[in-house]
Amino acid sequence: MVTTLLSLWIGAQAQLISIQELLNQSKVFDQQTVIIEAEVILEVLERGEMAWLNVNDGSNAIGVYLPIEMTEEIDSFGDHQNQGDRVRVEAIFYRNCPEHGGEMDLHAKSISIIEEGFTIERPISTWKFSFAIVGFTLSMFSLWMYRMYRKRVRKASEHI
Amino acid sequence: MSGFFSVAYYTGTIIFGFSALFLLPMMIALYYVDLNSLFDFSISMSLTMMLGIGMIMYGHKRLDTKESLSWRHGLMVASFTWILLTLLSAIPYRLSGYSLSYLDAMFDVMSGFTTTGLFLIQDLDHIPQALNFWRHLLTFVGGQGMIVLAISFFVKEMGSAYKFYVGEGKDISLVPNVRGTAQWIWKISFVYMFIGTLLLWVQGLRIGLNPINAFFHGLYIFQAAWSTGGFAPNYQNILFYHDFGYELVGLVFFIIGSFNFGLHYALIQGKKQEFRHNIEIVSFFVSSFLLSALAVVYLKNAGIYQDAVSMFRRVVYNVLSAHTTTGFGTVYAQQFVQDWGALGITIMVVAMLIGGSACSTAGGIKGLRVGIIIKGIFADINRLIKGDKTMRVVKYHHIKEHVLDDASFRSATSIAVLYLITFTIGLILTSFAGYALSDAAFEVASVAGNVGLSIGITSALMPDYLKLTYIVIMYLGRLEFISVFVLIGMFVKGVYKWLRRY
Repeated sequence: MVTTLLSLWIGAQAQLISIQELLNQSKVFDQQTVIIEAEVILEVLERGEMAWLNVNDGSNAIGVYLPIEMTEEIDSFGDHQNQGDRVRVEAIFYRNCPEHGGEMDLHAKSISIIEEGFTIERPISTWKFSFAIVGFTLSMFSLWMYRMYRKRVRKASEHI
Repeated sequence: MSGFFSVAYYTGTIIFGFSALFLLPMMIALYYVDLNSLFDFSISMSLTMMLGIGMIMYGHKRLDTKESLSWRHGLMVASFTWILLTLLSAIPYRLSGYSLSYLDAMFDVMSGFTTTGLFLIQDLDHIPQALNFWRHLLTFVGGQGMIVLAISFFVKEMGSAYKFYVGEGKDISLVPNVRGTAQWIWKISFVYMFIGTLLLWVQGLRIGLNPINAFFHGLYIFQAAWSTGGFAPNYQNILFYHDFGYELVGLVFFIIGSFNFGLHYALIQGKKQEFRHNIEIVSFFVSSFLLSALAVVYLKNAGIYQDAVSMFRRVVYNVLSAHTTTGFGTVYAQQFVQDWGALGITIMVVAMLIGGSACSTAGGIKGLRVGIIIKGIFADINRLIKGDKTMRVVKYHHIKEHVLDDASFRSATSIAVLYLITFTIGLILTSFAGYALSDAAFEVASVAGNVGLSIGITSALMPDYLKLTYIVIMYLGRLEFISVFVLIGMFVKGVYKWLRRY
C-alpha cells in the first residue's frame, strides 16, 4: 500500500536520482518517470531507428533505450582517453522491461547534454619511464648473466 | 632443504616463461599510444623476469645435489607458483592507479587466475585498454592453467611436469604424456577462441559496436566465457550489450567451457556417445534442469517475470552462469536480493557449489564428485534394501568405465567436505563483518566456487580481512586444496625446524 502510494506520488513529479538509488528502490520507481545525470560510455549501440546508450553516474551504470535521432548531439564517449558527455536523461524506468526480455532499463523521453566531454590529459609519468628503463636494463643484464651461467655449467658437465 | 632447490628451479622456470605474457598488453598499450600503461607492464615484466632468472640460477644447484622431485615438491611448485604469479601480475594493476591498494590488485588477479570474476578495480569503464586486455588474458591463462602453459612450452622433464599438472587441480590425460596433454588443452582452447571471437565479433558489429570495439569485446567475452571467468570489459558485464544473441553466444561458450577437456578430446576423436554416458554431463544436465525449473516456477509464481524470453534471459541464464561457475550476470546484484528472495538465492548457492566439470575451466565441488557421491549413496541404499551378500560392482562412465570403489568415493567426499568447510568458514567471517546470512551465503558460494556473481558484498569498501579471506578461498577452490595444504605443511615444517635449531 505504502509502496503504491509512494509510486503514485513519485509518478506525479519526475525526480533526479542516482542510478544506484534507482536499482535499490526499483519497485518504487517501476514504470515511473525519473531523471538521471550520467556520463555516456564507449559508443552508441545503433539498432535501426532506435539505439542504446550506456551511462554511468559513478554510483552504477544502466542502459538507456532511445530513438537514434536523440543521440545525434552526443560527441564524446567515455573510455580511458576520454571523458564522455554528461547527459541529463528523463526516462521511464522499467524494473523488468517487457520489450527487452525483462531487462532493467530506461526508455528515454528526453535527453540533453549538461557537460561536454573532453580528452583526458595523461602526462607521461617520468618516474615510470625511469623505472621502466632501469628495469629493462637490469632484466637484460640478468638474462645475459643467466646465459653465461648456463654456458659455464654446460662446459663443466662436458669436462666431467 | 631437500627438494627446495628443485622447487625454486621449476617455480623460477614457470615465472620466467610467464614474463613473456606481459609483452601482449604492452603491444595493446603501443597500439593505443598509452605510454604510461606501456611502462607499467614493462616494469612488471622486468621484475618478473629477474625473479624468475634468480630462482632458476639458485635452483640450478639441484644439479649438484642430484635431487629428484617428489610428489609433495611437485604440488609445492604448483601452489607456490600461483602465489608468486599473483603478486607479480598485480603490479600493473597497482601502478595504473585503478586499484586502491595492493591487496585490491591481488584480489583482482587471483579472481582472474581462478576464473572467479569478482573485481575491486575502480572505474572499470575508464581503465586503460592494456589493463583490460591483461584482466581477460589472466582469466584465459588461469582457466587453462599456468602450469599447463608452462608444461606446453617450458618444462621439459616429463616426470616432474606431471606432478605440477596434478598440483594445479587437473588429473586427466588426453594422450599418454603430460606435455602432449597440455598442448592438446591449448589447441582445443585456441580453436574455440578463433571460432568464438569471430562469432562474437560479427554479433558485436550487428548490435552496433564499431569494428575495433567489436573485436576486442568479442575476444574478451570469449575469454571470459570459455574460461568460465565472468569478467567483462565494462561495468555492466553482459548487460552492456542489451542483446539476446550476444548473450546466447556467450552462453554456448561458457557451457562448453565448463565441460571436461577429456570430453572435448573424445569428441575430436569421434566418440559422440561420450555425451550421453559421461557421468558429469548427465549430472550437469539433471542438476541444471532441476535448479532452473525450480527457479522459473518460483519466480513466475512470485510475479517477477511473466514471459518465456524474460524467464530464459533473467532466470535460466543466471542459473546456468552460476552452475558453470561463469559469473556473467543478466540481472543487477540488487535484483537477487529484492526479487529472487531466499529460495532464489538458495538455488543459486546450490548451483554455485555444485559447479562445473572436473579438469575444465570451471570451479565448485564438480559434477563428477557430485555424481560419484550420489551414485555411491544410492548404491549403498540399494545394497541395504536388497540385503545382498554378494559384492555388486558399481560403475560409472567418465571418458572410460571406472569402478565406484571406496577409494574413489572417499576422494570425492573429501574434496566435497573441504569445499563445504571452506564455505562455512567464509560464511562465518562474512557474517561477522555485518552482512546478512543469505547475502553472505551467496557471496561466499560465489567465491568458493570461483563463480563471480555478486549480491553486492564484494567491493573496495569491504574490510581488508574479508578481501584476504576471499583471496585465500578463491585460491583453495581453484587448486582444490591438496597442493595448497602441502605448501602450508612444508612451510610450517620448515619454520619449525628452523626454530628448533635456535
